[in-house]
Amino acid sequence: MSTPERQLAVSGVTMRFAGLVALDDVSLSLKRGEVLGVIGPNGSGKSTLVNVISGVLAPTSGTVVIDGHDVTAVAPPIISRHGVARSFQTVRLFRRLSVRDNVAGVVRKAKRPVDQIVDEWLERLGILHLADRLAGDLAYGLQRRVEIARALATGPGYLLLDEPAAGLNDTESADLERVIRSIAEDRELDCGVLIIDHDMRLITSLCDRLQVLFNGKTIAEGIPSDVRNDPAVVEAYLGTRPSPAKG
Amino acid sequence: MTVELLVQQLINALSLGSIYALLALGLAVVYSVLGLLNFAYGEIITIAGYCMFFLVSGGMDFWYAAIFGVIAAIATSLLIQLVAFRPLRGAPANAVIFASFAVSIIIKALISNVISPRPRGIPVPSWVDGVIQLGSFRLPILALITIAIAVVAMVALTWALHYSTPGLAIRAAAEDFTVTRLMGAPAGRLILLAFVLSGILAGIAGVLWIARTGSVSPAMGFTPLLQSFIAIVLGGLGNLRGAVIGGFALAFIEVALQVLLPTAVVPFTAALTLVAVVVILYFRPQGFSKLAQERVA
Amino acid sequence: MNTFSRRRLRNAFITWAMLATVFLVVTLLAEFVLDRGQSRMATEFMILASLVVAIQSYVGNSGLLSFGHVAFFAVGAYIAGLAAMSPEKKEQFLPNLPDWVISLEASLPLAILIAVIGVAIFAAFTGVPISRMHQSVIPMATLALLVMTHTVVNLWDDVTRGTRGLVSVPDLVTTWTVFATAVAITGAALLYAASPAGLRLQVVREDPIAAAALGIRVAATRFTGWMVSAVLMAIGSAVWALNSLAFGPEQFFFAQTFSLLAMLIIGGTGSVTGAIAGTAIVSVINESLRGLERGFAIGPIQVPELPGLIQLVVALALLLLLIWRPAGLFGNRELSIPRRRR
Repeated sequence: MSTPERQLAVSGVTMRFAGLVALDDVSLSLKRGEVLGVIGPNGSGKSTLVNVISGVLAPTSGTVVIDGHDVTAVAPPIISRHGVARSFQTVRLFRRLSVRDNVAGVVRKAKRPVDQIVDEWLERLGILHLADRLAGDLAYGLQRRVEIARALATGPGYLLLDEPAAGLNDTESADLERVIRSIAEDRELDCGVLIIDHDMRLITSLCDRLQVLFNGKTIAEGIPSDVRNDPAVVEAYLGTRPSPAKG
Repeated sequence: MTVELLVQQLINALSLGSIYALLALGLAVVYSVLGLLNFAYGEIITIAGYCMFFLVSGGMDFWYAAIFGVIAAIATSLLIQLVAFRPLRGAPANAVIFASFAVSIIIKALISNVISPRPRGIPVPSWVDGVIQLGSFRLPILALITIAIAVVAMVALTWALHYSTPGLAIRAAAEDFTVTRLMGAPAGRLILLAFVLSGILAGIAGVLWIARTGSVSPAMGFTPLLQSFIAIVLGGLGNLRGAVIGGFALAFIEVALQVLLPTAVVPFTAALTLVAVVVILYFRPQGFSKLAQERVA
Repeated sequence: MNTFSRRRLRNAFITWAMLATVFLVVTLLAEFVLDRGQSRMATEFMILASLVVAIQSYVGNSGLLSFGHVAFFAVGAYIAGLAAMSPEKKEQFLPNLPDWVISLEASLPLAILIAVIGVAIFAAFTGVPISRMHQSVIPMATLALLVMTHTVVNLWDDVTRGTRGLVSVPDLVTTWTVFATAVAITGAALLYAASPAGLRLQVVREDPIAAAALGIRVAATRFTGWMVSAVLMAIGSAVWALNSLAFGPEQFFFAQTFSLLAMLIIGGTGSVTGAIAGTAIVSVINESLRGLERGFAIGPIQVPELPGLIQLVVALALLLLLIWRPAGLFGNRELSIPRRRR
């Protein structure tokens, strides 16, 4: 390969569990600086997709390529070193460590003192004042922010967010939207964001592109306004009329 | 090696494997529900053994005493759950593990102090040690009994796990270890049931073990604990079928080493078995189970 | 060096200074105030505290209970004892040793160094498979390691004298060397816990799956902790051996394991301070019950000798304590100056 493309490319991934097809020939690509949304009802295979990309699950067939490196079925730590960071659907913080140590613990290389780097991430996510609290003691919405700060501290090129807005109220959700947008637009970070959700609202206002999964298959993709009105999506996924997007 | 000898060793391995499989199942049942190993598991067998020792010394028939031995095993298993596991629900794993280790130490210390630190013999009925001559094959009766009892126990267990509601709940917990863990703490009744089942399996295996060794001692529980642990690791964790496979695999490795090794090295069989197991695990970290799909590192 | 958190290092240093002061007080008392018996107890306390802190550096940071550290203890003690024993005594008691072992007569630093190398090799071989296992079975695997080691020590007559044990180990240890050992091991354990590697092990302790997804190699991280704590254990064991002068395989088995782990768990596995406090508490219980174990009289009733009494009492106390405080007395807290308000 001459110049490896700077993108995360999933092609033809199929994931079969005993008898059940969770993903059926799914492909997607995510460029740096782009926000891609993957939506679909519960059980449509969204989380399985994140688990395949991050190396938790080895796909039955298909490939995952990051910046030109084939990382299909490679162990999670190595995928992380290729620049993929993720959050979890059910927040998984290091509960008995302080917020600060949650972030400091995953910093790999540091050109500047690690304390400074950690403080900057906490500041950016608006949780610096909570730095010395135990992560497990925080309210749910704040835990989500710690999780994003922690993922960013690994210096990712691609950030995978698994239902980041689940369990958040409207204000928290709006704050989160701002944070995610600022990450995607930050040239210095040069990071693509993949958001998985079943809730259309956050995702349509935030994403550059949308991809809809249903029963493990991609049934539509494109810019949010098109996808939202796609008859197949309306019928298969929503069942009812989509709620109008905010902003 | 003659065919006769081969068959004899095969039966030997099968009967040892039956005991290991039952032992491993008993440890695995609790492990699959709680995600924790019971370090006082061996003492279930110890107590069953001493119960039988007193009854047989008092003149009771060995096999009647065995029934009481199994009952004592169930009681001990429940006692361990009551003392070490239940008060510590939600505590860090280390605390629970150490609590069960403490219970094991307490039981050993009590037996040493109250009864005796020395081993005591249990007279096993002499016909048990006999052999059935079948043509040129000599079949040891105890081995045949062991295999028969184990098969009956495992068939009964399989039936219970498939056709009773609590059995299904346990099986769900065991087969889908991670998912059950993710769904939060299992119900108290399920835990209780797992300990009862664990006691029954350990009790039956314990009786067969004692019929094989013919003695009891305060520290007798350790070998069964270690063997059942090795078996469940070999078979792949949190999976009951794996425990059975692992039990038989361990027995075959052990018997094979005993047959193949020069006599001078035989005292080290246990250590070499462990080395063999480590080598297997090195190449197959998930044991013989192919179920484990979730990887960490 | 940028990955070292200044903040964590500073806190570790403060705790270290305070714990070192405690050891200094104990040493000064032992040297100038206490009688010989008490002074010996004070020395033993500091050695045991060193060993418990060494165990803590693995168990506390990894959250994995290890019974295998007593195997390191045995290997370290025998190696140091054999290295330091005089050639004449070795000729007398262990004539089948290889010549180069017999001719060796190590000084204290050399004996410690050899013990560290030996234990490190042992730990490396055992640590590779153990670190790759699922966390729920690691404790049992370490128990298996302990039993195998005990079997070998028991049977290897030519090297260990089997059940008769080693005798005539030279006394190369003073109260001040013990003080230095305790301070050094405590400092190393605190430094490791404050280091990036130590923090990574704590991260893995909290959630191995999330840690792996964020780039931490779980097995390698556990292996590092295993090695660090094995080396600390080797230093402590060598000093223990050259202070005990005679020992046998039974000193490295269940009773010892139980006692050392009880010290750790009572104080709280999460902190070095807890490990030292737990050692002090269990040592006091042990001393006060030692008299009772030999048999005693309540009025006219003569209570006979009760050989397992200490263990039984400690085990029961421990169960109650665990139910009351599952994280031990100190939990994750270290001794430190009260936090300044901001």
